[in-house]
Amino acid sequence: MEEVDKIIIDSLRHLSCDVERGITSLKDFDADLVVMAITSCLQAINPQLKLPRKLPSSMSARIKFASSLAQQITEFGFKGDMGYQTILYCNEVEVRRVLMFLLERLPKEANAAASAEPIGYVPKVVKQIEDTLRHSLTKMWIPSEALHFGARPIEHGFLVNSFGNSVPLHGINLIVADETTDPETASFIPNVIEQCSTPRQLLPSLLFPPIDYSGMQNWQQSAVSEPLARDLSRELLNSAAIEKLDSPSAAGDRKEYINRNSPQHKAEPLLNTLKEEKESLDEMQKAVKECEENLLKLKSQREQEQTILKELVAKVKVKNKTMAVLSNEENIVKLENLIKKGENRLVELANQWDEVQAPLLEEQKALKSSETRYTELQTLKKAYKEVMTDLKEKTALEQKLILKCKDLNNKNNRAAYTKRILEIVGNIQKQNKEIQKIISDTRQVQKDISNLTGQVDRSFTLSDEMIFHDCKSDESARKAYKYLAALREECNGILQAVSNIGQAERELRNLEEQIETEKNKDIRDKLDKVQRDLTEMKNEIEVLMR
Amino acid sequence: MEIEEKHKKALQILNTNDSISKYNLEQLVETCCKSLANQEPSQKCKAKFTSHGNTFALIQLQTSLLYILTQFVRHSETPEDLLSYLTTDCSIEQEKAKLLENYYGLWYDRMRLQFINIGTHLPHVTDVRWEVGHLVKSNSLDQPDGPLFKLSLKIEKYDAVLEELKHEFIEFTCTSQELQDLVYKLKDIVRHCQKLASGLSSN
Repeated sequence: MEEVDKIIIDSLRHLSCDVERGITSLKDFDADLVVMAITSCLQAINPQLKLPRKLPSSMSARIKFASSLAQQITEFGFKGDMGYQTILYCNEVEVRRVLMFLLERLPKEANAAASAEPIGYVPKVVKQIEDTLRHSLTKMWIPSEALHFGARPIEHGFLVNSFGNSVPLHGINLIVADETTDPETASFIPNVIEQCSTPRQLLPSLLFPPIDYSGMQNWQQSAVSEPLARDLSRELLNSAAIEKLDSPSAAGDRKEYINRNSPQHKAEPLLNTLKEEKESLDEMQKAVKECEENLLKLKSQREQEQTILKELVAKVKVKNKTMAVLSNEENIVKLENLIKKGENRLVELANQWDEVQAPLLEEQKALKSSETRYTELQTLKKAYKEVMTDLKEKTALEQKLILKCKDLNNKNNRAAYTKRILEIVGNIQKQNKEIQKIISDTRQVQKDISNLTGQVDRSFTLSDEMIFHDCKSDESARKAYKYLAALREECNGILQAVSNIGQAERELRNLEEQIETEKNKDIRDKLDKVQRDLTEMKNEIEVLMR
Repeated sequence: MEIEEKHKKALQILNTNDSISKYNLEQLVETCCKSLANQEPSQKCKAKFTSHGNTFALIQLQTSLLYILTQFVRHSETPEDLLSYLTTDCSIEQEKAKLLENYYGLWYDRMRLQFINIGTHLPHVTDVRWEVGHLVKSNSLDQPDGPLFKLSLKIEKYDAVLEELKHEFIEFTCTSQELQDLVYKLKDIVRHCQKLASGLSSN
């Protein structure tokens, strides 16, 4: 049974049912776990079913929920005894039977999908990322103007196009009246929605209210306990003096005094002339500036023209000299000779260049050939490097794959399961052989019995005939015949008694088996539990009645 | 998920106070759901709310409902979970709990959408506009040049001052080579995503 339990628990884990690592057999299943297992199986069979995965705390609700589960299981065609008691007061054998029935009913595809379901936090997150990526790539593009709040619903969540509508997380401290609040004060507190200045402020305020420092009483205490360093009396006196000065009566006196003694009315004409003078000065300064700018421009123009003139004079000088040289015929002849000499020199130099060039060219050719070898070597080196890197990558990949293979072996105990199944099949075959042997033995025994009964019958009939034949002539034979009849009856009676004993033994064995099965059901415990639940329910009803 | 005890207690008004009729409760739950889904509650609803006798009790109930709904949406709980929480943990009457469950199921997606739309994000590119230009002759060179692509990326971002969605354009020009480079890089991103989508867990 351990093997069966292991297989059941393993399949339940694949159905995202949280069975703890320590639980290895169905003996350790409590009512909550049984409910979770059954609901996950039912949901896998019919995905449209939506059931809570835990038992409610109230006893009446528990019984109601358990009986609804039991009804659903019977609707799926479970033929055994099924009721709320099977789920709440779980018996190992019954739970095993129910779970095996449900696991057999699981759809094959769902089972495959469930087995492919990743286990653990990180693989689940990776799967989610994959799904959202796939959705975002496969779903049709829709302009964000056509979307409500920049997102559209997909199978499990939303596909976001734009976060343009996102409000920054700025919440406010919501004032909530409770039992401790004074009722008069509470009547002035507006409801939570009205406390927010904008409707979109409500959610952040409900989720993450900003930190409130008003409750930090230790700060207040420290402020009170801190000694005052300043002379307060002097400060108060100073502030009183300033207040006096700033008082409206004092300010009025001061204004009158200033008006009386100010030379403002005397200086007004002087100020006007000063203004006029200033304006004329500004104008003159502007004119001077303009003149200076013009001067600078003219200077730069003059410098440019002078440089152009110098260049022109130099050119004219060169031209004059050449004209003077060219006017003399001797000079022309000299120049021609010079040109000829130059040509000859050029030819000589070309010849010399050829002489020098020939060995150099050969040398270059040789070098080129060596260069090609060098490049070949370089390419070989490169190829070697590439091959080496490739080798490294492939060895790394090999190691990875080996690790993966090991992991796979660890994860999927397929080989182990097949081994176990084969072992079980072998055991069954052995047992089958033994059963066959026993059957053949019993048949042999039956044959012997029938032979013996036949023999007995035959011997009786033979002796009957023989004694009956002598009966007419012999008195003792008559007696013997009577005895024989009595013996026959007795023998038949003994045989009947033996067969009756056998039958009774068989019945006894059956009854013993029945007793054992009834004992396994723990009816006494169950009855106790039911009694307890009944009292609890009565209490609940009383509470409700009140 | 932890819900404060005071909110559970506040829900007890539903069991004790007979003045909260089914109609009133419907109005109240609808107001809560609409507020969480950023929709203006109807005036009729508001009037009903203010005219009610026990306003203080209603305000408490509304606040607690808002907190509970927020927590349930935040943790992606199903309507069945809410029903079992209300009936078992808060021991609310089955009929009223069912009503709350129905409203939660109806408004769940819209409320969730508002949760998605909380946070500070960089602007999102939502559209692209483009023009192709050809330079016939410039001031400095008597030579044609081009094509020159003028692109403007339309972005959406939240304006914190106006408190609304704002559209802006990022404008730039590029040559055909640069445009090709950009396109290849964008395609590279898409290819990478496709590769990831095809088998991230298997790698």
